[in-house]
Amino acid sequence: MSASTETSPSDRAHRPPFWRDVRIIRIALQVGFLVAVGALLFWLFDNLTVNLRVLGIRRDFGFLDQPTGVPILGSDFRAQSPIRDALLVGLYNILRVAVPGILTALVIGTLVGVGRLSTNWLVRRAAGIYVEVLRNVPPLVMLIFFYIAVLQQLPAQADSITAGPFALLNVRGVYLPSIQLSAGPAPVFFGVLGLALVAAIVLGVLRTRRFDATGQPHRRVPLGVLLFLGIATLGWLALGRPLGLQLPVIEGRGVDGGYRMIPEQAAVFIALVLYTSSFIAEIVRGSIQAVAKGQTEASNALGLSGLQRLRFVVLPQALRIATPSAGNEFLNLTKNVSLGVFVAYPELLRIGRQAVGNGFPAPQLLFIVSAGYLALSLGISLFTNLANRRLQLSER
Amino acid sequence: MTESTLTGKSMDAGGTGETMIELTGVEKWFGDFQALKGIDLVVGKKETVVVCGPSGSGKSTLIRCINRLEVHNRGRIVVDGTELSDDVRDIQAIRRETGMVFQSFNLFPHLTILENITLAPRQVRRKPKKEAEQTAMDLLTRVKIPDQANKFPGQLSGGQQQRAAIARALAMEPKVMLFDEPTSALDPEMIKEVLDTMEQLADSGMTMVCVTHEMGFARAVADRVVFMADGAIVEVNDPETLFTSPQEQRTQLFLSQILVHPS
Repeated sequence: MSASTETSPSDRAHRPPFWRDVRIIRIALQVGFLVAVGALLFWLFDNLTVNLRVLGIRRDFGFLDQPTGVPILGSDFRAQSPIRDALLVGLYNILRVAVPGILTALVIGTLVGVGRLSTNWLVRRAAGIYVEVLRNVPPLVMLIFFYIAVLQQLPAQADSITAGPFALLNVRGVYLPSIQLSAGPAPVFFGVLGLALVAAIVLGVLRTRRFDATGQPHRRVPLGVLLFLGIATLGWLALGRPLGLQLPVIEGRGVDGGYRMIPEQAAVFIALVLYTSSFIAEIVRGSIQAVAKGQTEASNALGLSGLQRLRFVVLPQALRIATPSAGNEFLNLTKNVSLGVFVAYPELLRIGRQAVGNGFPAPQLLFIVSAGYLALSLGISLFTNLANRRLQLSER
Repeated sequence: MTESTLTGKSMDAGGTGETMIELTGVEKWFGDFQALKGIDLVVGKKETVVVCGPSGSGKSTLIRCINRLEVHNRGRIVVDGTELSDDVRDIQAIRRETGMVFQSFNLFPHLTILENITLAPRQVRRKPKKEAEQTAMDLLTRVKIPDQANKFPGQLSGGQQQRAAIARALAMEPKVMLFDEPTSALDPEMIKEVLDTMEQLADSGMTMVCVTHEMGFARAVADRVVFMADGAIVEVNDPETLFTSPQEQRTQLFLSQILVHPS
């Protein structure tokens, strides 16, 4: 008994011949696979360098310092600036759609997903139709539709559609209010904001302690927000309103102030937000439904209210289920920004292709475009993986 | 005249003789299927009532109606003087006074055992944290798993989870405990530890309604046994009489079946 547990069968005198030994087979397969992949990569690289040499195309990255030759839509980028900077603008333009896009899609998707579980018939049906229509139309079709059929049909600047004094909508773009800082007291004001945040957190901690000690409701979030806003407003007034909204105003042939979204960017943003939010809605719905029915019953049996049940029992478990899939949707949205190439939105791929068209080497540029998207995706992946690990750890 | 003697037994409050739960003419439909066909039953203070019967006879539906996990369609349910109505306040009042233990435990997997037990006392009863935790530890000691307090439910055995679930229900200091087949999902060697806990609870004077097939438990602990079939109460009697000399044919058939193959 003890002998058989101390030595595994393979350690005994008669090992099988090597071609039947699972351990050797396993190692041999892996070595073989590595050699094959290495050979393939070498062959591809060799092929590329030989052909580039034959065609007389440069293989270095020195061209990055040469002037781009063309300006970039919706940016004050100048044609004489080097390619390197043009590519950075492309990278920035991806983020300009992806970051607000992810946040907006998350908010809309959550509302629609919860709406699909509503007891209200109308809300439930409306949310259902939203999801079924939007997730079944290809994003490229939606993008081209919004660009050509909506944004290109908007009135000329003189007849801009306005939403009060806050927003302007015309064929040249979407104009939104922007935040304006006055140079002097602005840094001081950020200090005040930081102070307000600290005060709100301290209040939250104190309220939590009181709740632990007495059981009286802490209401730490509304109280904390109130305190933060109070201090922020006082500081804002005391410092002579250092922070203000700058509204877009039509000035002659242009628009002065505000944040401008060119039609191309608006089309990519709207199409991707609508498309992705429909998938996030399904993830939210599925995750809430995936929390076992017994959890709701146990909460009810304990006398927890509906809100308490959601807050303490259902949502923490649903969030855990939703995180990995939601992370996938964030990645999809980011990568789908490359569809912007079809409406000439100057994201990284568009800039790269334009440069290739102007005689810069394609292999290097495609490599840079791929690497740029890859880096952004890996960044988002890392972020969702961290969030995921944090949520999983709280399980056990 | 079997009908009248039956009603007499089912309306006889045991325990102290005062009424804790009163059901009159309770009916429940799931679509076209009638799960409860006019249930009359009174449970007295400090009484232990065991409900048994074949699968699909409506036992679980019956006790789930008492704390409104199921909504009854007709009849009256009164728990400790409060009638169950559509008023949220009545529903919450009854749920606060009624603890429930499920077949599948239904512990919250993302919270530790201690957090599972203190959640409702702190959020619903507004107890200070220290006091809630002290009560929780006392209860865990009572169900003999104080050393599991800071573990998560997934790390406990089935029997330990069920005892933690009992402690969780008791932490709300309920006047009534409802048990819905608490041992049916357990391995045989764990059934005893849960039944011991329940017996100890009954001895301490808790009013209990238990749906269970554990006949040994019923004999040892129950004041009355209710036998149900097809959504109706067939027979109610003290355990000794019901098990040894059942009056109704349906009861005899059921008992012969479970006695031939004791689980």
